[in-house]
Amino acid sequence: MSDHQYAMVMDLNKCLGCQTCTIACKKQWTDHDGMAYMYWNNVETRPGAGYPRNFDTLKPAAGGFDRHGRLTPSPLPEADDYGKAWEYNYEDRLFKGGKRTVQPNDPRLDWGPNWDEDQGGADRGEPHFFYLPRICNHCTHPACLEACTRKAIYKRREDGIVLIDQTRCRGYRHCIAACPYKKIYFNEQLGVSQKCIFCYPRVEKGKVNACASQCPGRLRFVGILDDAESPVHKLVLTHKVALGLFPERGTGPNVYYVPPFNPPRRGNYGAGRSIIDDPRIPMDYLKYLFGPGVVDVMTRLEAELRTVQAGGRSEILDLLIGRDADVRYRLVNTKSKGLDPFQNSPPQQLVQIGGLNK
Amino acid sequence: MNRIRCIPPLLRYSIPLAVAALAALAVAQTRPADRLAPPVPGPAIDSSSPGKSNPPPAHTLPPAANLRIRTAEVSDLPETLLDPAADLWVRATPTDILLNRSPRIYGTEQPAWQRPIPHLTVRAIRSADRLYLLLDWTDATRDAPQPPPAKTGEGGDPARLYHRPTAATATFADAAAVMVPDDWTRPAFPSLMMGDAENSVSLYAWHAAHGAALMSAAGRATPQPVSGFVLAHRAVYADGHWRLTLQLPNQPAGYPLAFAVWDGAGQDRDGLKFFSIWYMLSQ
Repeated sequence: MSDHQYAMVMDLNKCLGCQTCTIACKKQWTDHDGMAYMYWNNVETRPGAGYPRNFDTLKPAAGGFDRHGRLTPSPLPEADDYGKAWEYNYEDRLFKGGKRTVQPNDPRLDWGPNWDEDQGGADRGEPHFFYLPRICNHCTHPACLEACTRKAIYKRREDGIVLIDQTRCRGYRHCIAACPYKKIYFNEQLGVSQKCIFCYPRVEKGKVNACASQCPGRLRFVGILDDAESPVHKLVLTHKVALGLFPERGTGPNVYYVPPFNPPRRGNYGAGRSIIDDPRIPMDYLKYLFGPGVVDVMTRLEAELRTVQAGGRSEILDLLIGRDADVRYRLVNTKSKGLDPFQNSPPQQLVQIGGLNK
Repeated sequence: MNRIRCIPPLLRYSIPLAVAALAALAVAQTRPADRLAPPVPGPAIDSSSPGKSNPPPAHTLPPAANLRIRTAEVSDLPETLLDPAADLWVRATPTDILLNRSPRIYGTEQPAWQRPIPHLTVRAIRSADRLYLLLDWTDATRDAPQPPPAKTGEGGDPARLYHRPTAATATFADAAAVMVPDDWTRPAFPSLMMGDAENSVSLYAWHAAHGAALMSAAGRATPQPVSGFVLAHRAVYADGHWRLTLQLPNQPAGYPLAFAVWDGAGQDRDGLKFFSIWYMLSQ
């Protein structure tokens, strides 16, 4: 249990699937030996297989804890499930006068990260999809930490960031089997497991995470969950419009999502229909991802939307628009005694939220 | 004593009974040496039988102490002893080691009983103040995964290096280890789980991909490599068998050893392995 907990909220209604976050993270952290296949930040199309392929439906279990609190490790994903990095025939196309489009060098490729982009699903003849950006959830009860026999994984007391001690790790990969989000990756060249570090070297200096900083859609909100002034506290705990992914896996994820809130399948909000009555994205699928609480969130968001459509104001929607960085981010110096906010952060008011048991 | 009192009564009595039953099973399954590999008489070998050894009084040791590894002696240092195919090894008496599967920890793991138990034999020869061991165990596949090499030619420049890739995320290497207490005083054995806080152990560990190394441990999750120690060894895989020689510092007669084998194809690593209880070196 940490004293404080950094958290991120992603508003899925604003994600355009551009993968700028993916590349920001790639260039910052995973551009080294053994890391080509790793995307600590990835954006996948949902409904879809995800990354690694089918990580959420592995048998006999997909990781996390069961309802009795027991770990349920999954089989380890194979390299083909992540998708191996490939090269393109740029030289043929650009320098040898070929007229065909640029192609991957390996014609046998049949899978890779984001391979099923924009395929989505269909319900009653109408297609639907949305983008789901994913990083390590820096869980309140990390399954990876519990599974590690080397005690190489630790959760930082000051800010709840979960890290792998690269000198203690022996590459046994119990953590990968245990993580329900499959957000730990094995570096074969170094023989160790590696994962998203929540950009702690940046955050410690008051710089927001690389993925959030580069996001053109401005859909990421970052702050301390127990800081009443932080946007994540407001969205998750005050307004209750953001939910963790696969909450039934029991790890207490600290990345939260404002669920995709698209118009009803027929008509529009103004026509008196509700998204709950006639959703374009089947509600069962959203419940599968975000738990049964997603219905309440959708109902709340729809009510806010109607308020604004009727000419009123909505604090929630104003916050979700989040045009400026000082609205979306509130980083504090967790190393100092008073948790001083970094520059451009308004005064803080820390609150107890039941020992962070959300 | 206090620790024993903490164990529930049913468990308290079942542990010694289980150990005794396991030991009896191990003795019953130890095949006579002449049925496995008939020892060929040779001038340099003195294969001692279990009867010749000088066991400590039985009442001071648990039943497991009746499990013995027959040890031969040669008078001078034969360089060939590191060769698993050396003639001296053919003439040494093999001892069958009863292996157990580590129990599964989580319900979603493969049940232990579904894993076929490898057949491990150990031969031991003392020479020039060294203890040479030959471990021979069955393994259907040779698993020694190595990360792929560097590739050049990035961006069309033949000299430019790609980052070295990760080619496999779910492969593991075969491995074996011999555990020796650092400073054993009878009668209690160190914990089989890599010793304990009061009884540290040395682990002579071999890994099919990384080679062999000496590690020191005092309980689970504590093994640390011992720097400056070169563990001479050689491993050969053929005909569904690994044959591994290890050169250990000499160990006195009656000293305990324990063994472990990992099958990479079954994703064995860490505590997921086949292990023996303590065996005693005969004279």
